[in-house]
Amino acid sequence: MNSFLGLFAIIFFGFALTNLIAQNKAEIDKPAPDFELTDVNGTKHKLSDSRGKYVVLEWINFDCPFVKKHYDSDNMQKLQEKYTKQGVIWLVICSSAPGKEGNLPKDEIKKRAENYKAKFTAYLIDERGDVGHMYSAKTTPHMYIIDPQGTLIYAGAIDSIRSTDKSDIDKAENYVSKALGEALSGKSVSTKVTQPYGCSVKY
Amino acid sequence: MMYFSFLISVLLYMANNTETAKISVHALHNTVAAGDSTWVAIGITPKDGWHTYWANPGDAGLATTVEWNLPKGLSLVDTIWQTPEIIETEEIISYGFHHTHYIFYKLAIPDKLDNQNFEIIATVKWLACKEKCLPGKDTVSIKLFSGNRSEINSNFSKIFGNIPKRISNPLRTSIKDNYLQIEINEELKISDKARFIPYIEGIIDNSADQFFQGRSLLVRLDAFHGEIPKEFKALIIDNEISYDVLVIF
Repeated sequence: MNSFLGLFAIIFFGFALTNLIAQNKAEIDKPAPDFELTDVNGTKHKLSDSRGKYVVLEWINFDCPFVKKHYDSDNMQKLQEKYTKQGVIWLVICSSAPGKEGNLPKDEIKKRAENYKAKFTAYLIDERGDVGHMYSAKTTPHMYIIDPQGTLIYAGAIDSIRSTDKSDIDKAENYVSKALGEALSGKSVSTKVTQPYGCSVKY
Repeated sequence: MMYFSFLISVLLYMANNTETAKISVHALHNTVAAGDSTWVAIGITPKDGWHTYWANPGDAGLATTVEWNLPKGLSLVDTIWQTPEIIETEEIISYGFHHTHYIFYKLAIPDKLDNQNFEIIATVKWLACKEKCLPGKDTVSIKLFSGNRSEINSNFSKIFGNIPKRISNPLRTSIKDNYLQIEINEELKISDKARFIPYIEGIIDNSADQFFQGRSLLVRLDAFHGEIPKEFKALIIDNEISYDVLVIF
């Protein structure tokens, strides 16, 4: 009898856990899953605390050539500056596990961000990859936009040309800029999903 | 003039980056006839431990690209990729190659050839990854002669392998509950170990299990998929055999 109850409990909790995980997966046009992460300065950031503002999530690995493409060219910093000036919260998230590429010491992160003159709101550390998995983040960069009501309104690539070549940036259509531009001017986002490109997230 | 040529060579060399892979070019025939067709191949040998990517790189990475610079009148009419490995790293699924592999191109020769010989040039760009990723680039060329078609190069025959079998009848598919339901026709005898991979990115969930329901293969769509094309090419890998199929709605 006891073993029967034990088996039942395992099945029940397994089912409940699967359901919980499924509920916590980001989906377009659905409430963005909430999370709390600590930034490189030790400050905690909870997504739901930014309710009422647009939030951009940018998955990062400073050593990835696709990330370098957008930082060496100043493209990412210009986007960060343009939109944070308009009140957008720009959260950079690093899901690289300890020992993996992109998991840098805090001083090194600060140095890189300073050298790049990065204009993000915060650099969040997600070493266990929990938030990365919650958002199905696959590449660096991988971009998401959440509206003031907390709904995920964009997920995908930064732009339309899948390369590591800086000279492609001006020729590409910037999906993040397009989506934010539309959303901030009260229009609905015309391209809500694109296929991200970049290095794999180093879980 | 010599100095100028030398400078161009140096600049080209500097622009290339072959640290992570070696590129080669091969021709089926050394001499081709006007109005005929032939095959050329680009060989890619990743450095030990590194991998490069297939037409659809999977969850991350970048497909190798080949940009051909062909003499006037010549055109590419077909492309064949060898069957890739399914590479799982850090919960990310990629399709690519750890070893020497080839991309084959069918070349249509015009009815009239102006020159006795001509050079075809290919600029190859790739992304190679190990623990980290590095982009690479190389330019290779091969000279072909015009005349009566020559014997097949025996070296080419050796490399022309590991290619998918083409299935002539398209596979009908529909979408139900976020799954592609692909009707597997009689022509295709595949086991329940078969893996369905579109040639284009972003359609399927690369990590999800694929399974049969009757004669239909059920493949979960990517959580963030965009519009699914009305028809697309896909590869089915079944143990040692692979098939090229056209999927239609």
